[in-house]
Amino acid sequence: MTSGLAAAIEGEQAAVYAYGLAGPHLDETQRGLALGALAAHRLRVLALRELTPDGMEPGAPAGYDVPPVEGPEQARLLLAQVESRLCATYADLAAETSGADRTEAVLSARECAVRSVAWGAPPQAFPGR
Amino acid sequence: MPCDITRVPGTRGMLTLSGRTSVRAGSPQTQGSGSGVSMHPLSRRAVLSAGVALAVAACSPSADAPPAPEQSTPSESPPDPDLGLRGDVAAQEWALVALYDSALATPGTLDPSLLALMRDQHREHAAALGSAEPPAGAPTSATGSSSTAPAPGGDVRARLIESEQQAAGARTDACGAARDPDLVRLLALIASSEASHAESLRGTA
Repeated sequence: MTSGLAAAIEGEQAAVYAYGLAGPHLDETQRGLALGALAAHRLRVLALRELTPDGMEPGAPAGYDVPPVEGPEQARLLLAQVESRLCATYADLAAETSGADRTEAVLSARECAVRSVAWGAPPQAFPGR
Repeated sequence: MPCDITRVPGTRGMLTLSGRTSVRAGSPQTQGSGSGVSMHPLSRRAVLSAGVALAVAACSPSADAPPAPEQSTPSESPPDPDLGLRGDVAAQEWALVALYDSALATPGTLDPSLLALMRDQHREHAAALGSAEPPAGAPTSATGSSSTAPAPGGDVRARLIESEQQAAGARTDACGAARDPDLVRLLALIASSEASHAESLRGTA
């Protein structure tokens, strides 16, 4: 398994965790957005595992040590940051894949960048870098 | 695997993956000094840092390297198989710069600072592709053809959104054609930036 693939799986797992952390602090509308994003990240994990040789998947981490999220603003900041960095991780994955896998990586990167902005981050020239 | 998923101090990170079952969020005992885990007076910054750290856990292989959008390297080494691709994309970036210049010259409801920010990001894209200046004969805000001048009013927003979406699609296609992995990475980031521009413009409705 390539390092880019492992990084993408781990990044997606971290994103799923972050959404779980942030979700309860969001208002109803934002929670709908968060649930959609969470579902998208879970699907991406599954898709990435399809690319992974049997027995080579990185295990899910037992947990993350992060500061508590206090309120909706911090929740949005956390999600914006996580999405932005995951965008860069997918750009790295695109660089080491080809064909349809590369296209999927680029589309994933784009989705992450869009969500980062949706959570309030300003647009960046090179998201996550 | 090169990723150090338990990296703690020394990086910007203050996030530790526990080897045990779930760690209470924010538990300070796993950290070395100076980790900034305390949330109280600096809560906003701390959360930002947490986001960075969580992303560090995502361990992007290049996370330790600077952004490194591609630097143009004057060719003294082997011919660049992506030369034409770089030039084409750079020209398209300059066309977007001209489009934003036109939009900025058109009184409207869009936030000029947001437009200028995104225009300048297209300049950064072009520069990263090795084109620091608009190509000769390229449209500028002063000489832009009527086809690049957005119509006034809400159509400006729609035109910009459409242009950004098309650009993101074109960069995605270009990714598939590029040979140099660094160029692929760069184009993926540019595609992402442009998709996020469209989202920003939608959000200003």
